[in-house]
Amino acid sequence: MQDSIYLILRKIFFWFFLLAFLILTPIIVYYSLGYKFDAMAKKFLKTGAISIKTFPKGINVYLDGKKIKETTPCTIRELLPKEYNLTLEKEGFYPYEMKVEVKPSQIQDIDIFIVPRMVDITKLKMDLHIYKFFVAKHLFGETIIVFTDKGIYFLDGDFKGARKVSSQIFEENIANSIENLKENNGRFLFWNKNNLWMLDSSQVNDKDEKYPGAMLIYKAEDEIKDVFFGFRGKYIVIHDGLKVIALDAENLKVSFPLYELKSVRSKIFYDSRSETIYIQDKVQGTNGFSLFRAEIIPLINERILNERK
Amino acid sequence: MNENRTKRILEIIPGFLSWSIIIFLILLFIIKPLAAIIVIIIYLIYWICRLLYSSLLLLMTNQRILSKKNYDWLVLCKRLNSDLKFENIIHVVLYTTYKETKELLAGSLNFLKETNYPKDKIIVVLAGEERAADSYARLEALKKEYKDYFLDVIITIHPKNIEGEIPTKGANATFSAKQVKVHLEEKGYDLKNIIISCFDADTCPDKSYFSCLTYNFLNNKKRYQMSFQPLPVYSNNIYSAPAFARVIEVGSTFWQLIEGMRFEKFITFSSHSMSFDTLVKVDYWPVDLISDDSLIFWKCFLKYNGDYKTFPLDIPVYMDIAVGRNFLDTIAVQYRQKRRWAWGVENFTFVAQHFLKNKDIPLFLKIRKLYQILDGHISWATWAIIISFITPLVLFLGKIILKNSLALFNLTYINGVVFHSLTFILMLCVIISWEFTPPRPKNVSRFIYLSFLFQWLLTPLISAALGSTPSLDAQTRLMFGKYLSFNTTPKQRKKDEG
Repeated sequence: MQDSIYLILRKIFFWFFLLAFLILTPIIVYYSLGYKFDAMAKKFLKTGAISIKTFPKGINVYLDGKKIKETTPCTIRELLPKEYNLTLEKEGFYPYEMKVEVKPSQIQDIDIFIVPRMVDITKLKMDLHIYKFFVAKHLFGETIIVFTDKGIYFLDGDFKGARKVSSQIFEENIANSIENLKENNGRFLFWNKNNLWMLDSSQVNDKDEKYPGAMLIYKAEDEIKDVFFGFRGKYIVIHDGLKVIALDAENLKVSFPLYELKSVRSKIFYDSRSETIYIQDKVQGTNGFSLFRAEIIPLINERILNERK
Repeated sequence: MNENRTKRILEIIPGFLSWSIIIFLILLFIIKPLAAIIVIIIYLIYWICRLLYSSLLLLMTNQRILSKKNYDWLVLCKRLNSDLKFENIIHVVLYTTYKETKELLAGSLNFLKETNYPKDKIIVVLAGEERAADSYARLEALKKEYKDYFLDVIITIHPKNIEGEIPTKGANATFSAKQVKVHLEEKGYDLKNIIISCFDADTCPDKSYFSCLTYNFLNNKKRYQMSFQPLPVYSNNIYSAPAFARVIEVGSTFWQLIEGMRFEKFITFSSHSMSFDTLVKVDYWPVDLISDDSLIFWKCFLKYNGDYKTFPLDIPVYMDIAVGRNFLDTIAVQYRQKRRWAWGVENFTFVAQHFLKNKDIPLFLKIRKLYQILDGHISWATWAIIISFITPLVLFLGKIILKNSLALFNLTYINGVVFHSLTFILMLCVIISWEFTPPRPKNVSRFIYLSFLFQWLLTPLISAALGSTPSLDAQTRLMFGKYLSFNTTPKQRKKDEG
């Protein structure tokens, strides 16, 4: 190709891009601001837009009952300012309906989680009669603890793995009365109003099919309201009626009365990370409640320091 | 108006305009965020058009160079029917050198030795500096080694502290060229038959460079109103330079490729060639300004009242990628080199001052040329700041200030198109860059090609960090009268390179 042809080509490209810039710029700017030319009315109308994101993607969009070509995520532009009925639909999901107010030169951002219909959901393959279950979360996921007619089982969150941990069979009414379950280093505590049991999963021997029983470690004097692992996991802190008791998890014969509560409506919380106990209790001489706290480690240090002094 | 005052006002203009654009955008966003978004949208559309246009120019120049790759320029020279005789043409190849090693210069001379042009028509000039203590000994050793290969090897040593000069490459080249002129006249050469090529110490011409140059010189009737600009390819030390330095320098090569297609705007840069006679007539390169390579074009342009052009030679000269002692030093070296190039903004002052005095150049041409200089430098000083900092900042803060603005939503979309356009150009660059990559030395692993491929991922980071700052730095210094001193770029090659 001769140099003159390159020169001509360059000039053509230059003018093409210059014209493109001059023509496209006002169109894009007007479009960006939401202006739309109405050929019928022969005037510019100010419009708005709706931007729709969903989880999952690919949901059908209906605006005032009319299906939009695109599925989510999508942006519906050039909408005249008014209220629209927006429906998001897909087979296997609950349809999501909402009203959207479109304003001129504005975009309404919509971000929706589309809820699936609960049909054909996964059933546990094992033939067990489940009385009660709890979910214990840990670093690598969650373990489902199930009380069954054949003993206590641990299941993986996805049901793929199952492990028997106790042959002890709780009667259905007792299993149903269990209020909560807590775990620490393979030790599981579960309780109802009257009893507190502990199950040590490290004692399980799958090879020899030896399964420990759940040990009844505490009988309520009044009513068990809450239980925590505390004091670096060495003790079990029990809220029983008006008493707060610390029970040695290794040596169940050792226990200490930690605190005397003033009301049956009082509550406690033991934060095992900061080793702090929070107590909501009645204030002496009043009918009102306040919040108390005791940080265990600083308390120990303070006592040691006082002793030295 | 007082000449010095005019000069100061002209020096302030580019920096003032660049800073005004940046500050205007920021202030506009604070006062009228929506208006700022519209201005940025317009700017981004302009950039998309400019990027796509530039990529087409890049493709066209590459195609033009490839189509001439197999030309036997020497045969074409001999066959050419011109008013000048090929046999009478003499080349003066002037290497300006300061502290570059003997080995580096020897590498460049070896390249020159390997060119296919008759060596008995080439005079090599080694222009050293008195400031460098061992200049004479170093150059004398080279002369001894190479004098038999060429028509002559001349050594000139530029004395330090000449009144009215600043220590620049231009001052050295001018001193040297003046000495050479005396020598040529003594030998009875006609200066109209002499072509001078002013090379950096690391410039290694393609083997057909002088044949191609001679052909185009002979073939152009306006040869004395024309500079000849090869394509500077920074690849001599490509196998040892850090990836980010490679990306920057390949970018510089591509910029020259693009410029090479804009004939009427094309000006000389770095190593270039021209008629010795014209050089004498315009009183050589400037001795008191840094950007001598481009200023020589403007001196000629003024001398010939606008009837002067730069002819793009479709042939490369290979140069070194600027590298430092270590990674951080390389960043500093690259920054200083780009700032020196950006100091070319002083051309605006020089040209505008002379335009005020010159009544023979048409006003439209004057305005066009001044706009051309300003546009180039202001775009350079602002584009990366607008695209890499202001636009993301507007997008981020805009989401807080103008929560549901449709314009802001569209700005995000248009910004995405800019980055897609940039990616498209980057892919073009990856493909075209292979054309200019020299053969791999034996001691370098072939895995380096992976680094050559992935180096382009550094582009956004490099653009943000080094895209505009050297230029804005140079303009700000010029604006405040803090003149830049000429710093030579360190050249480092490994043994097997270049």
